[in-house]
Amino acid sequence: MPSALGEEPNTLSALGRRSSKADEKRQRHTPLLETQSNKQTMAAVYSLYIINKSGGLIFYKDYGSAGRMDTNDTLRLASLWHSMHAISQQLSPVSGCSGIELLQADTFDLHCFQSLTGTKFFVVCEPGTLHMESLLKHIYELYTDYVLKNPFYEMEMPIRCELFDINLAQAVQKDRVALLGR
Amino acid sequence: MQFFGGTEISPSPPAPTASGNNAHMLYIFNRNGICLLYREWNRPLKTLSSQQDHKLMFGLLFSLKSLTAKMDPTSVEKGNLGVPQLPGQGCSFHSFRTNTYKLSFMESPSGIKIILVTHPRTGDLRDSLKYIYNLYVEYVVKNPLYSPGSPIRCELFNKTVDQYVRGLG
Repeated sequence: MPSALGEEPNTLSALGRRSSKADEKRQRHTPLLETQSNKQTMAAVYSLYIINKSGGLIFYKDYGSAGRMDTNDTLRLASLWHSMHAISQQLSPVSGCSGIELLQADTFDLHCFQSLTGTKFFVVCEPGTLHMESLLKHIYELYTDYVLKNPFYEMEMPIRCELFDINLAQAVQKDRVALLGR
Repeated sequence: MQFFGGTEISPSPPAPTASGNNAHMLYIFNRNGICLLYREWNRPLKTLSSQQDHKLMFGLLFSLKSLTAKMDPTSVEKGNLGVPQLPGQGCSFHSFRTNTYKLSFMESPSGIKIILVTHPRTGDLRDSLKYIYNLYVEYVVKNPLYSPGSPIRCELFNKTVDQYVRGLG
């Protein structure tokens, strides 16, 4: 890994570590200008996937990743992730494993949250982005409120709910703002 | 992609991230998926035979690599999902974490894969894996009695790896 991570300013490498509450507060209070120069105009979250308990993609949203992926690709990726998640449980050296929570790739981080019913939510974001667990929990709340409580929604089927879309856009936006240190 | 300056072992190995032995197991695969080395320090749960376990592990890494190569949000041309890629081609990954373990992964340009499974709260182990790779080069590749592609049976290498991993976080 010659450059990509190594040359980032110190603040970013500090973001990569799991920090305490106090650290988070300090991050939030860093002057806006300084943080912006690190983050440029890139979106922190690249995309969001929701897959049902049998591995079918029921929701996909792209927030500006390079190179468009067609629907078939996203469906394949979602079901591949479902299997990888299951295999990782098999390989655990200790009992009680509930699958991959964080995958750190060279150019992105993938955070995954699995609800008790087996629905999986995962976001693809910039390496070292903080607050992704809470974003996923928040998206799960939105899902229970606006999708599951929608009388016209059929379980395990693709999500088409306007209110969910609106609130989701707000949540991701809000998270981006939190990252900018406002 | 990682590039390694020289094969000499750096005078000071990367500092351990915490105290105590957190490592569960270590795998080394060659590019054909043959398990060259398997070391186990702490593995209470065993559901599969060792051969099945190695196959499953290699399959998981292979598929995760094609997943990350396809998912890479920064590159425009990503090719098709599942097309085998050469080491260093496409976006790879260096670790994943579950609630019970953390798996750190490194692939050398020649396709040697080193996998270290540790406690979930271990820090970044990329430098440690590079160090283990250097040990492999020094103790295995430079051993005239070792034929490439065969399982590693080198007492000195096993001992050094054990010692290093025990000192690790």
